[in-house]
This record gives sequence, C-alpha cells and structure tokens, in this order.
Amino acid sequence: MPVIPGGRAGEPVRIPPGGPGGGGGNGRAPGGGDEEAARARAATMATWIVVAAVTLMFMGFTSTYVVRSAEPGWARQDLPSLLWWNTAVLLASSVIMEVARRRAARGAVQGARRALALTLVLGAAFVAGQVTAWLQWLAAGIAAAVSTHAAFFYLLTGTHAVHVAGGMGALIYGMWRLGRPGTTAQRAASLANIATYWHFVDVLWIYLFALLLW
Amino acid sequence: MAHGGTQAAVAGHATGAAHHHEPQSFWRRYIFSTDHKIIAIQYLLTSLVMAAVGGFLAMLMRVQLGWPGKEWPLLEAIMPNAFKGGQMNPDFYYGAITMHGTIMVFFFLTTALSGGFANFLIPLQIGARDMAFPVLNMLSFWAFPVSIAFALASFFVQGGAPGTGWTAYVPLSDRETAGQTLWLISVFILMLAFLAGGINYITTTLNMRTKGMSFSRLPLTVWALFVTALVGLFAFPALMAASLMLIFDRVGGTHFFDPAGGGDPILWQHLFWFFGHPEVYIVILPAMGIVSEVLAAHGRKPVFGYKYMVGSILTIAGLSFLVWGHHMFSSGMSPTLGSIFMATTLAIAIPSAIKTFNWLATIYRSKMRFTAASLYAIGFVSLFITGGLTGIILGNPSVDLYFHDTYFVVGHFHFIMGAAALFGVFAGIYHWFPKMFGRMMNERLGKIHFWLTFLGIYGTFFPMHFLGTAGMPRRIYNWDAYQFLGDVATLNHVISISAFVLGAAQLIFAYNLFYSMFRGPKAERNPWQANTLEWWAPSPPPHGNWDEAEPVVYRWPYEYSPKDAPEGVDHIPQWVPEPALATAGGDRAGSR
Ligand code: HEM
Ligand SMILES: [Cu+2]
Repeated sequence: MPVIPGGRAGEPVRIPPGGPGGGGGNGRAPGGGDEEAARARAATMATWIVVAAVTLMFMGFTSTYVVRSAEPGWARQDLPSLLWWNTAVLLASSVIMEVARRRAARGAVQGARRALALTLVLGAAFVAGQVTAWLQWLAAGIAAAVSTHAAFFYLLTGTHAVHVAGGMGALIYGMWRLGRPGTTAQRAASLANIATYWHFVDVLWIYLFALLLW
Repeated sequence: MAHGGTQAAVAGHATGAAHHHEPQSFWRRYIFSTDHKIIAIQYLLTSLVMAAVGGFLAMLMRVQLGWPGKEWPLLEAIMPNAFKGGQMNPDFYYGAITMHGTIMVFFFLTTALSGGFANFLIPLQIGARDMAFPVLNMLSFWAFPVSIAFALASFFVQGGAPGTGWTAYVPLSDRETAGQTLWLISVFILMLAFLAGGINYITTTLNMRTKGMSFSRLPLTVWALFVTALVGLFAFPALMAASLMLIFDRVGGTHFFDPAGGGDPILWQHLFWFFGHPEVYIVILPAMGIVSEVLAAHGRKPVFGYKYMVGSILTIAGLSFLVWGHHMFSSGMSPTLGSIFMATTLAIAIPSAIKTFNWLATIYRSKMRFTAASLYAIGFVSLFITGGLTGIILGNPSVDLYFHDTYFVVGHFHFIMGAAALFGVFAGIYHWFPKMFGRMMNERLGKIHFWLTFLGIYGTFFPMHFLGTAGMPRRIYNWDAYQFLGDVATLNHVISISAFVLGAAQLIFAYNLFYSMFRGPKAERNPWQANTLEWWAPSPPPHGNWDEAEPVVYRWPYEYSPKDAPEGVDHIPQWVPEPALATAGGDRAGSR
C-alpha cells in the first residue's frame, strides 16, 4: 500500500483560518469550537423544516378538499360561531408570544416566562374551545359521517388542534429553557424558534377556517 | 491501529472532545444510544431482519405461483392457518403480497439506506462528531420498531393482514378488515419517524460540515442522502395526509375516498403516487451515491463527471414529483394529461442516462479491484440499465395500458427497486463493514454471495417480463384458472426455483455478516485506501468520531491515481494537506 508522505492519518491537523482548504465549508473551525453556534443554526432550520412538512400535509388535505367541494352534492353546514371566539383567542396568544420573544431578546427572563405562561393558557383555551365546538356540532347531530364538509371540519380542526398541542409542549420546553443557564442570545434564539412555530399554527388556523367557511 | 487505546483517550480527553463523554451503561451505549453510528447499526440490523421476513413471504408466494393448487403437508404442519388443507389460503396469499411489498420498500430498503447509511455516513463523511440532534435521532429510530409492531400485528388480528398490496387502493382498502387500519397507523408512524430522521440529515449536512468541506467537495453519498432527505420532506406529508383520511373513512364513517358515500377513489391514487413515485427515488438515490463511491474507491479512478452526477441527482429529485401520473395511465385520465406525464417520465431518462454513462466511464479503463463491494456496484449498473429500459417502455401510455397490472410491471420494479437498490445496500455493507465493526468480511464468501444473487435475480425477475407479455396479471393467486395462461407454467417453475436459489444465497451473506462481526480479521483504518473522511477515523470510530480535532478538508474526495503524483502514490485522501502534492492535486481539487 503506497504511503503518502506527510499527512499521516491520526495526526491532528490544524490550519489557520483562511489557510489552505479554507475556500469552502461553513467556516467552522476544527475542534468543535463553535459547534454550539452550528447547532443553534440547525435548530432554526429544523423549525422551518417542521413548518414546511406540516404545511405540505395540509396541502394534501386541501387538494382533496378542493376536488371534493367541486363535486355535485357538496353541502356546507354553518360552522359553530364559537370558532370566531377561538380564533380571537389564538390571535391573542400570538401577540403574547411575541411579547415573550421580545422580552427574552432583552434578557428579561422573568417577564418572558410570564408571557409564555399566558400564551400557554391561551393555547389551552383555544384547544378547549375547539373541543367545545365539536361537542356543539355533535349535539346538533352533525357527526363526521353526516357530510363531507363535516368530515373535513373534524379532520382539519382535529389535526390542527394536535399541532397546537405540540406547540404547547414547545412552550413548556421554552419556560424550562429560560430557567437554564445560558446567554441571552441563546435564550432568545430558542424562543424565536418556538415563536416561529406558534405563529405558524396561528396562520394555519386562519387559513383552515377560511377554507371551511368558503 | 490500537483503537482500544484511542477510545480511552477520547473519553478522558480534555480538549476538542471534552463534551462528548462516552456513556458508560450498556443501555445508554447500545440500546438507547444517541451515537449516530450505533443508531446506524441498529437501523441496519433491524432492516436486515425485516428483509429476511419479507424474503420469507416472497418464497411462500413463489411456492404458490410456481405450483398453484399443489398441496404442501409440510408447510401445513408449520403454518396450519395459512395452509389449511395443505393449500395456501388465498387470504393469506394476498396478505403476504401486501406485507412483502410494505416490508421490502419501507422496512428494508428505505430504512437500510435512509436510516442505516445516512446515519453512519453523513457525520463521518462531513467531519462532524454526530448529528445535529442526537436525541431526536434516537427517538426517530425507536419509532421504527413501533411502526413494525403495528404492521406485523395485522397478521394476528381477525381477518389477517390486508390484501390490498402496498398501494392500499380504495375502495378495497375501505372494505378490508381491521388489519388495514393497523397498516395505515404503521405507515403514519413510519412517515413521522422518517421525517424526524430527515430533519437531522438536512440540518446536519447544512450546518455541521468541517472546515474545508464545501458543497463541491461533498462525497456523492452525502449528496445523495441529503437530497433524498429533501425528497422525503416533500413526499411523506402527502401519504400522511392520505392515510389519515383513509383512517377517518375506516373508523369515522367519513367518505373522503369511499365511493359508496360519494367519495373519490382516484384521489387516493393521486395522493398515494405523489408520495409513491418519489419514494422509489428515495431508495434508488442513496444506492446511486453508494455505487459512485464504491466504483471510484475500488476502481482507483476519479468519479467521472462529478458535477454532472450532482446535477443529475438534483434533476431526478425534482422531476420525481412531476411524474406520479404514470402509475395512473389506466385510471381513465385524459389523453392530454397522459401525454404530459409521459413527457415528464421520459425526461427522467436523461439524467438517469447521464449517471449511467458516467458510471460506465468511471469503470472503463479503471484499475478495478474486484471485491465483493465493487462487484455489487457493477451489478447495480447492469440491473439499473435493464430496469431503466423497461421503465422507458412503460412510460408510454399506449404501451402501459396493456402492461399495467401484468407481471411486466412486477419485473420492471423488481429490477429497479427489488434488485438495483438491494445491490446498493450490499455494496455499501461490504464496503463500510470494516469501518462499522472494525473487522473485515470474508471476501471469498462475499463473491460467492454476489454471483448467486446476481444470477438468481436475473433468473427470477427477467422471465417476469415474458409473463407480462403473455398477459399474466400481477396480484393473482390462481393464474392456472385462466386457460390462456396455460403456457406460462414452465416459466413460473423457472422463476420459483431461481427465487429459492436467490433466497438461499442470502444465508451465506447472513453467516458472513454475523461471523465477521465477531470473528473477522481486524480491519485497518483504511483497508480500501479510500479518500473520504470516515477512513481517517479509527475502525470502528470512537464516540465523537475523531480522536482529537475534526479533520480538515483540502480537496475533493475522488483523488485516485492522480497524475504527476510522486512515485507510488495512488490516492490522496481529503484530509491530506501535503504541500508537495499541491501541484499534483491542487488545481483539480480546487476546481471541483
Ligand atoms: C427474493 C426476492 C423476491 C421475490 C421472489 C419477490 C417476489 C414477489 C412477488 C411474487 C410479488 C407479487 C407480485 C404480484 O402478484 O403483484 C412481489 C411483489 C412486490 N415486491 Fe417482491 N420479491 C422479491 C424481492 C423484493 C424486494 C427486494 C423488494 C424491494 C423493493 C420487493 C418489492 C416488491 C413490491 C413493492 C411488490 C409489490 C407489492 C404489491 O403490489 O402490493 N420485492 N414480489
Ligand atoms: Cu413511478
């Protein structure tokens, strides 16, 4: 086996930044120096990937909805008016989430935490409200099997509520994370990701509500 | 290499690997591990066990198709329910079809490639210490056995495994027994697990590359696995949406797809194939990456047309979302739409041909070392050409209307998926086994395994094209009931016997694998004299992968037989700075 002179495997190789080989990569220094920063960037990216995947799943539902609603015999029931209140609650939660995010960015840990707690309460109120809306429809005899519109109502709101519940898990994680040692920048970054997701489920709900009304 | 010592060194090292302490307990180390290499091996071994289960079902199917109506007292003794009265029971046959397809596509190929190899190779080849999210990585692995449990449970519920095939077409899947619901839940969990895995592959490739590892220096395996994760990101949600709606139909009394309530079964087909066609690329793209890597390393030749290889991976991935309708030519689509899908389908032939010619150019006048790994890589190219050509035939709606749902299709997709992707997996295992387990596999057994498998595959799947032209339908239990199929009996005997040879050959592999894992000769760091970063790490790599600092990358990964290199140098690994070689490798390395 020909042995290459120099550069023996196993020897740690260090080169100055911008030295040979520096033309590419992500500029991450060897030795894991800013592995933290790389992981933080990865977390932000991961949040957006989750957003993309969830969006795509709802696109799948939407395409079915559009096709089915164009078919003859499509009948639309009036939605429970409670949904308007729920929408308001969810919008409010997004506003509070934004407050939490800004406070965390300023380093106001306690304030950010309180705001997160309030977001969590509003999120729970939204889910409870959706469940109430389902019970109202069921009481009125409109089960999922009654019409395709009803079926979509339960499918879309149910799947969405599960995603809100997931977001509530993220909120709890965020509250725990704020109490952990770390820099303001790290805390702000983690809350920014949670906020991205939370605003996303909010926007998603408005889209779904509009679709169901349409 | 004394890797025993280096492990201790890493565990106790103060710098670099300081926060990568190796977990000590058995459970945290080997069962609930967050180490990408352990997770990779977990995925790989689980997927091989599933391949054995799926292969066993295939053998049973071939027993029936080779000799329909014959009685098998021995099989009745082993499986009294499936062989009541000595003959295979039709429900069991159709359940076996479904589970065979599901297991092979999802639990074997997708898992082995996008679970096993992606986990093992991405961090090692980009010079990272682990995935970006190790805990998520562990969770996505553990969702996988849960998914398997749901799928296999369907065999044991009232009515048995669903008989709808892996495509679960409505309305049949709306009528099927409880097993179908379990199947749908299994698929849903699996998609979730694959998505979680994909998050790691994408973010790790984008963020965790070591210094110098630019995109133009990325090994083709990483390119392929990264793009595969992106394809999954776009494809899996469609099946998740579809399976959720079908679950609603089945348990909630809704009629999204069920025509009895005004539902639209064709919608299921659209959603399924919007996922399903990209899914076949999810298994073939990583295999393509592995083959490029193996051909270069064992052929001692740079990959021909690296940029075109990357470009064609991206093109294939993009086009794979525009062709799903070619599975539905016979579902009554308008001829205009059919022509559009034909055009996009045939367009995929172009990047595929680019890849094929580049492999051939890489093989041509190479100094190929005929190892088990390189034989499998060359075999892949052969199978890919055969399967690709029949794909072009089927891409024409007018021809496909005749061939659809005949054995011609079964022959086609088994060449591509059942065989080519399988060869990719084998090439990868023979090539990376030394790095995974620190020991060598037996080459001689590997070559015997290769030749039996290669001949077995051609003997099993090539004649299926003739069954198809003779008009034999797929998913048929008793083809002998049709008079016009009287002539295919001999072909079916040949196929079944080849299939048994093929199946038996895998026992050699299983023996070689498990024996070598524990008893094989110790492997060096770089037994194939390859260039990619994983070969810089000890065999097997310790927790945290690198003894000291991460490697730094100075060139592209295919510097084999470099021109103007000093006497005796036939390869320059990516981690070698070597200023003296700068003129030899420098300009090429810089430009790629
Ligand atoms: C020992 C090797 C194998 C044999 C003998 C075999 C045999 C068969 C047979 C007889 C069928 C049923 C055809 C029909 O009636 O539609 C089938 C279907 C199928 N096989 Fe294989 N197979 C083998 C390996 C594989 C592998 C490695 C894969 C991996 C992708 C695979 C994927 C499939 C798929 C996706 C189907 C379609 C199932 C469906 O339509 O529901 N097979 N195979
Ligand atoms: Cu296709």
